[in-house]
Amino acid sequence: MTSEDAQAADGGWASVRPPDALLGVARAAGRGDGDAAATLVSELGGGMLRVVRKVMGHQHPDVDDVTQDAVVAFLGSLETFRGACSVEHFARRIALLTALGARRRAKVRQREAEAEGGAIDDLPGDELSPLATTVASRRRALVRRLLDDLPEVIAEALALHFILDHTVEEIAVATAVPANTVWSRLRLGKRALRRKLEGDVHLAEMLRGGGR
Amino acid sequence: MIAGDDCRSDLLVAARRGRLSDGGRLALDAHLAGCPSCRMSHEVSADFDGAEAVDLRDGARIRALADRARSSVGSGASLGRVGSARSRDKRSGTPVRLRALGAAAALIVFCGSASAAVWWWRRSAPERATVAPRAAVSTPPASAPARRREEALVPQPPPLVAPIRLRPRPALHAALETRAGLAASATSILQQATEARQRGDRARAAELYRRLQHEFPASAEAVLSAIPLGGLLLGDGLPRAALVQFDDYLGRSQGGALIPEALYGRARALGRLGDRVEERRTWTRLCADFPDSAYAPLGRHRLAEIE
Repeated sequence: MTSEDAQAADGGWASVRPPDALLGVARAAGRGDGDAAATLVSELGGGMLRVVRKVMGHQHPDVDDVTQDAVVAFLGSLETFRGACSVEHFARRIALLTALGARRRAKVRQREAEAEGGAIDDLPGDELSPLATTVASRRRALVRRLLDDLPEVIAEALALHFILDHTVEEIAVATAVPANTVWSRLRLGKRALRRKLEGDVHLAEMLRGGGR
Repeated sequence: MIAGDDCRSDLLVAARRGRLSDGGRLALDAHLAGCPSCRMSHEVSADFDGAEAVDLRDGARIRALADRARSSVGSGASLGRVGSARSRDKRSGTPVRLRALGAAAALIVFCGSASAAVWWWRRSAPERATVAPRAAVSTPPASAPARRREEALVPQPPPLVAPIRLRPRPALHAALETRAGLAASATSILQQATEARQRGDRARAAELYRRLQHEFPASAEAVLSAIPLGGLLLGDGLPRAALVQFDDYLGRSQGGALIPEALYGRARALGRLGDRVEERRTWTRLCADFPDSAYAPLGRHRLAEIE
């Protein structure tokens, strides 16, 4: 997580929005108030943890470390936080960028490849059938691997879109590029994702229903 | 219909943020029907929603992070730019006089503690020398009692290491790793079985499916394996064993996506067993509950035959 990443994370959401209840606490934490920092982390740590889990995988052994790195990066960036987006979105975006960087550095893809076919990274939920759980898990694993392989700018745009539900305009502001560039990146990313999903024989097998 | 992956609709994002009206939702449904790009986005985003599960110990994790943030930021430890004590003082604008008073108060507390410790040490030294001479020689005079008195007078900061250690973290992850290992193993066996079946090695595939059901009976993969194993058994001329598998899936999957397949297999197994009543009942249910499935036409044809 570089300072540029942090600055990039501080963007978007330029439309009218309600006052940010955490802004004052964030400012205090940025000035070095330990209690404010603890309050902020108590409030936002859960969301950051969930974002890291989405990117890394629920069972990934580095989730705690990466979350901690994200929190450190978040607190370290508060001094330069411009308030262009909400503190919560700023924190979540830093968590996303930190986790994406960690995946690339750790080459988690290689480790995941050891579990042929991809492990189910979450316990099956009550609301999903076993097949749906398996398919969703497989698809998540494929998306994560694609994020490792794609050029960073495309991976970032795709992750902001799929994982943090950002609009194109929000991604454009966050990454400081024109909206048309984001459209282009998303188009390339989605095309690559479509090929990845369609070309995966295991997923195709599962979608056929486990076969007969 | 939108061509390729260049759809520029933000309907999906709006829906995921809960900002669509009823009309907007109808528009989204219509859009999804004709836009493969947004359909894929919809599925992938929903998949990632499923990865949001909260862990039992998340509360402890977040408390540990908050404690560490408090101690690191508050003590001026290295946390990027926030950790710089000099810049922090400048930014916070804390009056210099207040900081000087604080330092003086700390000095008074320290000196008072040290004086008391010296007094205590001189008063009790002979007694301790007679009771434990070796300890009296080896312990640095005054320091330990002074520390005890200081601890009593000055509030202690919270421990730097929270109950959950974030790094290193073997204890924290033991349960997760075990669970991940089990999931990986079950998935791995299911995968091997599928590959064996694709190779045409039916015996090996059946063996792996049975192993999966035996070793990981509660896993999603074990439930799933009942369908292909039932199909293999039926193909091997073992309709009764196949029926057990299909019924097992129907009983355990609780609305699983493969129910039409299970019903199809069950009906065929019953047909082989000659149980016309149950077979008719199964085909009827398949046709009624899943009229659009690929098996419904077969069911209707078979029902006409049975009638």
